[in-house]
Amino acid sequence: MTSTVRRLLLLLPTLFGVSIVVFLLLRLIPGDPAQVIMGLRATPEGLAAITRDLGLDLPLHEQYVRWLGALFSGDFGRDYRSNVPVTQLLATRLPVTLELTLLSLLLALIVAVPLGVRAAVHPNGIADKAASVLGLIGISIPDFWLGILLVLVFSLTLGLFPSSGFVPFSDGILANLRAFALPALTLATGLSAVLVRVTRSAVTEVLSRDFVRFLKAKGLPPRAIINRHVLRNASVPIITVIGMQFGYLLGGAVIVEQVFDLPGVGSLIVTATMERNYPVVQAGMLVVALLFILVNLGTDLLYAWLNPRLRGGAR
Amino acid sequence: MTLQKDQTSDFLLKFRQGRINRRQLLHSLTLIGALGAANGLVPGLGLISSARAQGKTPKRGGTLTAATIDKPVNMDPAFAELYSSMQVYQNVFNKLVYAQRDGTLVPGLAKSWRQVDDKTWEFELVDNAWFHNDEKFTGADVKYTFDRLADPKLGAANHVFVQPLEGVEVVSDTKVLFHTKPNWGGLLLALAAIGEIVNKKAIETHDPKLMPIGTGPFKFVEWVKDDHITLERWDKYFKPGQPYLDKLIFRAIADDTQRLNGLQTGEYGWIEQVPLHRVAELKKNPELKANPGGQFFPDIFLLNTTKPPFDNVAVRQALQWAMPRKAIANVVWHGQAVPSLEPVSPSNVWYSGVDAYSGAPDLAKAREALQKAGIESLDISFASQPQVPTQPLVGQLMQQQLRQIGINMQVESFESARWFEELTTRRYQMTGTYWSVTLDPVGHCLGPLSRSGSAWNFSGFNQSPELDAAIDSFNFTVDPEVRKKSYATLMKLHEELAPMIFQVNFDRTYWTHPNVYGVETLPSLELRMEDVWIDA
Repeated sequence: MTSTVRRLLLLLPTLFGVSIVVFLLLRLIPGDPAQVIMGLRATPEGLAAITRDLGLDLPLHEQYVRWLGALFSGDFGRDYRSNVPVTQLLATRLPVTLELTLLSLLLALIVAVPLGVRAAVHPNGIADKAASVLGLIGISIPDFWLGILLVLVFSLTLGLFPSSGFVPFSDGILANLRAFALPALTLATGLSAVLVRVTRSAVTEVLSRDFVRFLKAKGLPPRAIINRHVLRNASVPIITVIGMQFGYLLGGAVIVEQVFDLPGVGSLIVTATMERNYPVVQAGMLVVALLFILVNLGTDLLYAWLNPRLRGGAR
Repeated sequence: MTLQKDQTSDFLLKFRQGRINRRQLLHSLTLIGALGAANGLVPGLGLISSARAQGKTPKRGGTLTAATIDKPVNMDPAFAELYSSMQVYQNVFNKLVYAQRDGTLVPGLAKSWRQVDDKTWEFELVDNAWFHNDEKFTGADVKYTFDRLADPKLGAANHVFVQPLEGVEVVSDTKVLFHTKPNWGGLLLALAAIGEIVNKKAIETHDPKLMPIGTGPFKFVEWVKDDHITLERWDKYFKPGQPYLDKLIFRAIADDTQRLNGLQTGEYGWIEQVPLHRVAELKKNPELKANPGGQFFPDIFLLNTTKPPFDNVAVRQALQWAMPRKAIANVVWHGQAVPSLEPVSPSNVWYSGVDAYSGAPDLAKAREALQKAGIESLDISFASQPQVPTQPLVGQLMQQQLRQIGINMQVESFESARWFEELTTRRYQMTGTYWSVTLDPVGHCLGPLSRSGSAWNFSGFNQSPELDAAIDSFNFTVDPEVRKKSYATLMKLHEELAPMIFQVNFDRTYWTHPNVYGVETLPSLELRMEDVWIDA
């Protein structure tokens, strides 16, 4: 418990550090936001007006302090181009990213964990070969190519799922899930490949330990040995990978978001970076960093719950 | 009797006497912007909606989901930074006059117009238009719109197009006077391009960037940022029976293939562009419809004339001689573009056909021009934007072409923000861009891009008082015949001085389901959805 509190307390300085790094890095990239906003049709008067309105004519430290001050009062700023509050942008984007991430992970877990376990229990069997093939294909196929292939088969040929776009949960669960089916499957394929390999190797390693031989000698049924003892002991590396992938997907599913035109956080940050839309990038990066830290914290807590010996390490 | 009235009567008389044909009449009236006034005076000249023109009676109802290319960013017509924003908000607002596909001008919120004297134009306004906030449209809205556009505090980009406008005077609720610099010939075309009328109360009560309120055929319902914009039919629209659609949803899909997939699966009923290499194949597909297209986007090479080597006119002329326009049109654009040395394509009413480099590409003449500049070999860089897929391809093609005349061209890539910086700080040597030449090739393109002192003179060209005078001569002439001649003279001079080089003019065709009617590409590039209907 103490370690949890300590890590929660460390959250603030970490986010503070992230905010400074992101703020400064953005300003180091060449490109004038006012010019990007006005495009080719910029006029000196227009550029001056926008620079003034956005506070970009202020010294850097003053810009940072202003932004941070507003942040503490819950004001994340406004999108430079559309004037939409950034909180509103994030509020519409985050659910999309979270749902895509969760569905992809769920799909990957359903496929990869049982397959990885079976591959480890029956080396060189059909499951093992299937796991190898999935591992190889999943890691080798680029997301954008698989996404296009899935659209070709499931949207254009079979007409089962929409080729792109997002349907909010409020418009119907089925329509929402149909819209997410292909992007989630695309992401899950790559995730499954990693997970199936990690699961297989972790379970194989645990199966070779003395306590498993002891349990077998004791006469415990194989299923009980796997479910109650092996899986629990093998779960730490699996959870580590899931935690890392979850964090990665929060901001890194950009390609899949682009292929399926999903309005997620990743594509928001990438587009905003290209446009030098500082408030959007800064707030987006902070939120992603916060979620990443929380997911890692959750992962550590899970370790401790699964393996009491790790509780000492967590302290 | 006013100048325009005289000319209109003269043209109508010639038409009735059979001295000019219908096409020539339309052309002439277009140039003086008098078609609105003439409409109804000539039997058979009555303007018909594009929907009816396609041989079917429009039906009411239905929702159309339209997939454009770029995401809209701002709904305020004073700040039309991006074409993608205009595509949406032009359905929410109305302009005083509109340009048809063939360039003819027709009434919008102005019923008719006439030139009173060389500095004054009078507009009669409709009296049955209502803004979506239930404010009645009057002459005061016209004045407010243009006063706002000229406000230096606002810094509106579109003010550039109406700089010769000195003010709007409200005579009554249904009559306004536009006071301009003497003989400004571009007024009507500017109004048809960027003259969306806004309402003071609407602007002051809602953020105009987020909540557009106009008198247009559709009223704004919602904007889910970066996802979709929904518009609904405005029941108090001033044109009886229109619009036909109940609802209009705009989505922006950047990838051509993804957009096409959506059209084929029925997610969209209208899309802006398909992959260029698939156009020929898709035109044979009975499940899709390619609607009448048009070329209103010239692709241009901008040359930095403020420093070597392009401060030397002979080097610029060498590039003109080496220009492989046909190859660019066929290889880069897959035949979906036409070569053109000027801002407009050969199908455009303004096209002059002036060619100061007849026979180009002619590498011998290109080498000769380089020798004249005292140059044997040259290293230059081309700043391309990889996010505009045709640009690196054009760069590569030019690289091969220029190598043959001793110019070693390096193609560099810059993402948008960096590219703007290269452009505005004039660090670049040569770059490419497209420019939407909607209605007026000088007022909307050559003037802003090539006249010395213009904020958009990216080439930094200010070496020719003669060119400036030619631009001004065109802009401040009302007589259509004189304007046409003036344009040809200007074009010849521009080609010779070559502060920028026109490559091709690409074709924009909108694709729909076969049961969607009333769609066509317009020279104003607006998506006039009030004419669109679905035969369910």
